[in-house]
Amino acid sequence: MRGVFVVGRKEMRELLSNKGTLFSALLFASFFGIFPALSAYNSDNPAVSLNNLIFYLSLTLGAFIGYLFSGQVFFREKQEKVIETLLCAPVSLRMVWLGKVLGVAMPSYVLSIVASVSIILILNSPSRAHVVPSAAIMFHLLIVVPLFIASVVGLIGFVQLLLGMRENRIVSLLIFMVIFGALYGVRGIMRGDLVVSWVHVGTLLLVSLLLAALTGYSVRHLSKEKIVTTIS
Amino acid sequence: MIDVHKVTKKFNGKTVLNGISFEVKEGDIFGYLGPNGAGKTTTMRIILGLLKPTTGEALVRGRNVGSDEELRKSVGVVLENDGLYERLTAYDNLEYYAQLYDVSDRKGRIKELLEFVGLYERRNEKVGEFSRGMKRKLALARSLIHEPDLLFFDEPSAGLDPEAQRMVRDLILRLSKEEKRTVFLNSHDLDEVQRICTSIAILHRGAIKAYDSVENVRRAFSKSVFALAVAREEDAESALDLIQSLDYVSTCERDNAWITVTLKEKSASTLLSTLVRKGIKVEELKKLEKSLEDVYLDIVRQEAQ
Repeated sequence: MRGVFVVGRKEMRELLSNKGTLFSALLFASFFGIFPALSAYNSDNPAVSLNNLIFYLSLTLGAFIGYLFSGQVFFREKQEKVIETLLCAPVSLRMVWLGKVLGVAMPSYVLSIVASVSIILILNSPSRAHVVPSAAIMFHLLIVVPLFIASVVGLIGFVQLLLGMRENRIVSLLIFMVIFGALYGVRGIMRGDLVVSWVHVGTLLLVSLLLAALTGYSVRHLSKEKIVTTIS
Repeated sequence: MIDVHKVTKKFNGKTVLNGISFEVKEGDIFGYLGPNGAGKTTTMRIILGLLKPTTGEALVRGRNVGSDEELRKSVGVVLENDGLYERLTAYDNLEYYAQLYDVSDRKGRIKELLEFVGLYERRNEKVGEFSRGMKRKLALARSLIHEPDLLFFDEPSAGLDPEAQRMVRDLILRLSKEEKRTVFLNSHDLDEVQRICTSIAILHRGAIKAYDSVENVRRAFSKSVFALAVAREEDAESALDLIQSLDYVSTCERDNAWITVTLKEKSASTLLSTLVRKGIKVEELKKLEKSLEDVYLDIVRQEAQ
């Protein structure tokens, strides 16, 4: 497991040194965190708005930032052929993949939390009644969100390592459209009558676990040969 | 140390390596030569466990590098791509690999290597700002971070200035002679290979065409090459026509009174008596020693024909 943390630490360090990607991630986190919160500011039921926004945005935003970072960590390293040297190191391919997932999922989760905290702060401005997230939302933020983000990042990373460069660009565009579309779905969440409950959180936990299992199973079929022969 | 046995590699039905076999002994500097697309990098990738052979096996100390993490700790690589992280500093790049290889006294080892390749003063600069030569030097330093006893270098001096090329050559020689490390060198720099390698294999179109020590390969390919000087320069043209008409002659070239002949079969004495019977006096006949470059070009050209 030591290799996982070494790879993960290096990926985080490299992501933090990439000002362009970091700026994009912060911009999206701010845009999709702060603006919906400002829109929900005058809601009749601020507690429901708060829970709904956090429930939805923490997932979609985390997945989107994870997608942005994955491009730097998986796709770019493959495109620049740097990964070939890494595959010669005494770390298994599975550990390398897991380290990269950790390196991407951690900062994505942190940014997702930052956006959620921003929503809480905005909806708790001094002129308004005090609102706090429900226990289900807290569970969601602490357990479901990191698991979901890690599963999505793991799956994106697996696909990027598996496919050739051209196929990767096409798939990346599709993923971008799906996640970006999901981010815009926040309007529907704010308009609707949904009240997030333990059932919703439990369902998402189940989905995240299934996604994690699917990703873990898929990675077994990834090989060094597959990566090396799809580099160029 | 390295044992490649009847390795064949096919990609989508296309044969890239066709049953190649060779051995690299401990302490050797093994030069693996061949034109672009011959299969050199594929061979190296198979030995390193990045690719699996379609048939045959490639082992290091009787074990498979790809599935043996312990064995990988004794192997250092500089592949075609430097494998460096451009957004990290030179120091961070080495530290990353020092951690992956679990190197003790990381700081000391990194300092030692950065000083050795002349990059210590620039250790805190991002690698993206480095020149091609500096990156190559840093990649060489990285390959040595865990003090491996087997090194794989893919075109290590490609794109380097003459001074840096010399540094690479000296480094490889030092690693082999003083530190008894084994080096597998992929190259098409024939001068470099001739200067430093103890044994070579020439690969062309997926097959090994020559494999031995540099001297033995040169001798084997020089057996049938002779240069003869005719006594009268005016006889040179008719001698050339006559030699060209002989079915046991492979090639011949004229340079004033001198004619260089490569024989397919039969001996030089047969050629000599044929010329004398036709009234052409030969003043001097000598056996020529081919350079590695000549041998290499012969192989590549023969195949092209």
